[in-house]
Amino acid sequence: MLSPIAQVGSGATEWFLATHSPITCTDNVGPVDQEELFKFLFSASKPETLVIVKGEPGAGKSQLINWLKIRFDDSLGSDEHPSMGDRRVRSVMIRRRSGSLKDALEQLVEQLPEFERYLAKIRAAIDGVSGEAANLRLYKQLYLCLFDARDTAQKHLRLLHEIFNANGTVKWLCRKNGAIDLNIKRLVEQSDATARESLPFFRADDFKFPPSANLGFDGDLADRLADDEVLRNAAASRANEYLRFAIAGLTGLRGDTLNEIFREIREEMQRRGEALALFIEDVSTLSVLDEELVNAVQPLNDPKLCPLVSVLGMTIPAYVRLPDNLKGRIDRVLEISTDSSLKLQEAGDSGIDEFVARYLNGLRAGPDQIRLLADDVRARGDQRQSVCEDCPVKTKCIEAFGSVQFGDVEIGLYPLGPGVARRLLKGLDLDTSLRNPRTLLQHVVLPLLGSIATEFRGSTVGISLKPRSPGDLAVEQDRMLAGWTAEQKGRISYLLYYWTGRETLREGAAILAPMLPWFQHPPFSRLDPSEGKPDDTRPPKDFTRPAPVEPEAPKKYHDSIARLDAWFQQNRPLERDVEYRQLLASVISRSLSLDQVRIPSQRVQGLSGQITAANIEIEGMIKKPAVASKARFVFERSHEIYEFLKDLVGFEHLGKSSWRFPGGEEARRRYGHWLSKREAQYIRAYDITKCDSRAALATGVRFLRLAYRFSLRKDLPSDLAQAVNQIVSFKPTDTFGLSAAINNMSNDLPQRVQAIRKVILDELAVRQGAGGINFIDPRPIVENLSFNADDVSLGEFDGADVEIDFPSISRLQKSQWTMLAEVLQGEHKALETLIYSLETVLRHWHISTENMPEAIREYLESARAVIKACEEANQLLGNDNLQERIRSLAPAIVSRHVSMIERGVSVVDGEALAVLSLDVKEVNDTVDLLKQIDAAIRRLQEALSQRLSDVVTTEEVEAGQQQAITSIQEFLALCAAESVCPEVEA
Amino acid sequence: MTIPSGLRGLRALEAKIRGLPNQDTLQRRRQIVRSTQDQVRGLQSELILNLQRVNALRIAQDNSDLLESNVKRALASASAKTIELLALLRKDDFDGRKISEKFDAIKRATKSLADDTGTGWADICNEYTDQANAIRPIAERLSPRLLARIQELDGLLAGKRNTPPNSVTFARSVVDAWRAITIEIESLAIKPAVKQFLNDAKNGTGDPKSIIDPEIRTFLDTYPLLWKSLYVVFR
Repeated sequence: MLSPIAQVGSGATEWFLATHSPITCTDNVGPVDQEELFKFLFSASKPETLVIVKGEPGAGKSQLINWLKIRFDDSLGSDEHPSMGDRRVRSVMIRRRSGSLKDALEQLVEQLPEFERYLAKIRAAIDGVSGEAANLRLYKQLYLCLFDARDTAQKHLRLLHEIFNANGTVKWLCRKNGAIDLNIKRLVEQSDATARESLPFFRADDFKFPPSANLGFDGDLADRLADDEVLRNAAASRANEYLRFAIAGLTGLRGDTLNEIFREIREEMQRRGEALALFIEDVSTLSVLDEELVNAVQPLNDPKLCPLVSVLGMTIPAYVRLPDNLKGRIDRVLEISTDSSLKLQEAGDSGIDEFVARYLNGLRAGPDQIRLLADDVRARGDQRQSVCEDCPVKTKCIEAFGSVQFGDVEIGLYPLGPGVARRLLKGLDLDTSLRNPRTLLQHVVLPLLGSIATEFRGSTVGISLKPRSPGDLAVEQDRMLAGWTAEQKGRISYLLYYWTGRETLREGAAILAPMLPWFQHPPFSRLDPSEGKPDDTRPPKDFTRPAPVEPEAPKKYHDSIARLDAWFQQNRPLERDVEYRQLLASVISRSLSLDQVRIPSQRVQGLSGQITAANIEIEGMIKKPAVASKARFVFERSHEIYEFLKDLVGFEHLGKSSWRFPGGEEARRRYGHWLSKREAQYIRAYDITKCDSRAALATGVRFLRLAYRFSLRKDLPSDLAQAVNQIVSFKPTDTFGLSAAINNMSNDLPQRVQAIRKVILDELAVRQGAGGINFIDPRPIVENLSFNADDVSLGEFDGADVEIDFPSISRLQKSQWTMLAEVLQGEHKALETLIYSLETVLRHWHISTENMPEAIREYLESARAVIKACEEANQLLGNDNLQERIRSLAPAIVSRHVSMIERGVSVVDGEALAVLSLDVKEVNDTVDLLKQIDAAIRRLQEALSQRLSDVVTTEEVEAGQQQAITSIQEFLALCAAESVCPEVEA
Repeated sequence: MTIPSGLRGLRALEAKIRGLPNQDTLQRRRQIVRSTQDQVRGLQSELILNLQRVNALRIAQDNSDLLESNVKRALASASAKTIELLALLRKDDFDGRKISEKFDAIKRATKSLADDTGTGWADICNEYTDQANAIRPIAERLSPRLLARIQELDGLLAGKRNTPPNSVTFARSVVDAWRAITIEIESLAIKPAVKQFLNDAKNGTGDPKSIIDPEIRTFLDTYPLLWKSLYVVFR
């Protein structure tokens, strides 16, 4: 039955009254207590009284207005008579409830059933803000408002109203969670006070129409809105300017409508001889009609109207928004603050302690006795009975936790204590800075009672508190908290300060000691003799004495420990986590024996760069974890880590980066123990790779071997040591290829070899000090060199994460190196084409191509002879360089060319892989030379064709000479053998 | 452009280019060797022809040693000069004049042999012609067949008296023609006294008294036309 929000309806009036603390608000003169305010209203001399109670959310406006309403009703039920005389007073209470306009209007209609005919428009308004069509109606209202005001708009927004009357824009502007939709929801759905302070406004993006919506209104405006964000902002502002007006128009209660409704009702009541008392907890629930409401209940001094007492609760912003002319018509403006109920400004903590004591007493009373308490409040203004009186443990309880006096009775403060509520309220760790009665009930009393009921589960006290770790915890915990569980030790960061007001165990232990059994805690294992015996250290009644002097321990230390306590004991986010992450980063960077491990490799270790706080992830830290590509060292929210962090904090702040502080030796031992236990885990965390590094290594080594063959055109040395040496040191040369693929692969080979080699060396590097790589583990290279030389694949390595873990290997996998076999086939084919392209040349010069190498030899020798003949004949080839090259084709050089072609032919006749053993460039050079020679000599031949046509050669002469000699010899033979002269038969 | 035999492509081109600087010499030398070859071929043909003629004459005369000394002399002379010619031609630097002289000498040797064969053939032709003419009148009167044989010989030799034959067949046909005449004469069975009487009568030296010889008288009676051919003249 305990609620932080005034629960008056549904038979809860007794509970409300029993736990109600008198409220004192202020007006422009001074404090006004609740009874005084009631009398002002009840006995007002004027027929119309309008009182505004303003205050921040949770300050107690509703509490006060509800109390006034109850008091009003109680008084009307008794012999008291208001200033309204004998009139029947109808009191209407509009509570906040869901906070929606619809709900507020419905309450009004429900509580004035006899005046329904006057409320038809309000019912229509309720219907108007509901249903799917409401969005469209608001859309249309905006059109009407903007249309009416078009003349006041800036030049480019004169036609803004068209946007709210275009078929194309309806769907966009009325879309779910758009400004229109959110405003409609606000009218019918639950909302909190903060949200009600403002409307969901249009934004510039609402006027950035999707293509489908960019239709049906002025084209120029559409273009400008599409292109100009400034104009879109202006459009949103313009629409927002009329949004409230449009919503009011949507309800149909805009202008004087609400005023007229109230007027008609009051006229009717006047005719009936009745009076109206209107209590509204929060006017903001009436949303855009707040001004209209105030306007409707303002004093009008019209005798046709019944007397009216209006008490309206308003938030400060809502009140500020009221026009000055309306403010001037308000009879009394009262402001209610936190102190109005809790009286925190009073000396001591009596106000707040009494506040909670009423609740605690009411709670202990239960439904059977609550009426008695309520009756005391009605009759005597406050509680006058204590449920503790019948409690068998009253004495011990009050000895431990203290009590509050209400007249003659003593109400125990268990589980709080004198001043505890104030400290807890101040120590709350909430998103809001509001510290009011609602906060106290909602965030302190209720959670604490719940936590006590469950015996303090966890290391906290069940309240969202800032921990206040004892300043001497590190020093004293081993001595004073021996035998305590980790959770109990953690809880000391709350119990000591908040329940005793002391900052150190030495000072507060004696005060806390009698409370410990009530919290199911073991006693302190040892109390400082100087503090006296626990039994002698009853908590002083007055906790307002000056706070103890801060111990020597740096403030930073306490602050760090407090945040740590909150993190672990309250399961709260770790505030300013960077501090702890930096400490942990230092541990990771400096204390792990990375030199002793090869897995993860140095390369993988290096992927994360310098380990910083960004690499540290503490469970529950506020900052988002570092990007996934870096090593992440995760520290869970555990007692072990909590203690470890506390030791690190001590190391940092108490020992000034050393273990030289009280308790440091123990902390250092714990540190060493922790390290030996966790080191392997955190070394493994360096490995952020997900793919198989061995497979990556194999691929890399395969590539280097292929690159070696590709570049140097020979296989690795058979000696493994030399082969490894070559793998890690060979420099790829510029490799000529006949095919574009080969040349492409050659172009980026140096960089690729360097990158892949770096990966391999980094993977295999054996750390030796801080220097570079001077020793590697060659075994993986040797293992991966054993694959068949005919296998030109990069091996099987298919990992989805290879791109992240081994980017250079990933790029290699996407390169043409994966298709080396096909590339070599292409090169093989190109080589064949190249070599046999010489057949045309050779045939032209009538050289047999049956034996290509020998044909090349003949060709080159003949060409050289031609050139020599040219030189003898003073005939130039026309290309000096080429002429010189041909002239210098000595037999050895010719043999070299022949040998090159011979090797080329051999490769062509063999498998494509054989290309890797051939310097294709030399073959190409030879072919190129031959073709150059061919072209040049053909030109020469053509140039000399005229001159050579009748030339007699020596050979011709010699041939003729030989023929003549032969003939003469025949003649001689004839002369010598005349007897054998042939007979002629015919 | 002529490509030397067995030299093609680049080698041929090379040769052509290499020949460019000394075209005059090469042209001249080519002329010499070409001429030499032509002349040698001509001499060879001529020599062969003459030797064939010698062969034919020997058959026609049925004398295997006919003109033997002439032949030996001519060939010896030609051989000697041909050897000298060969030596000249084998030199790098041809001497056209000397070569020409050698050819002249060789030609003279072969020409002498040609002359000898021409004379020999003329003698043969004359001998056959004379003998045929001698019996021609008697043949006209005594035997048309004999006359036919004589006319066949005339046909063989007609137009060929100035050119010695080189054909053995021809030579044999001449011999055969004469042998046919002889056979025809023998077939007339003329007794010696008659034969003597006829010869004398043919030569105009016959004695009319011989007519009273019975054998002659009988022979004359057998061939009455012979009687009509006899007339007496006074010396």
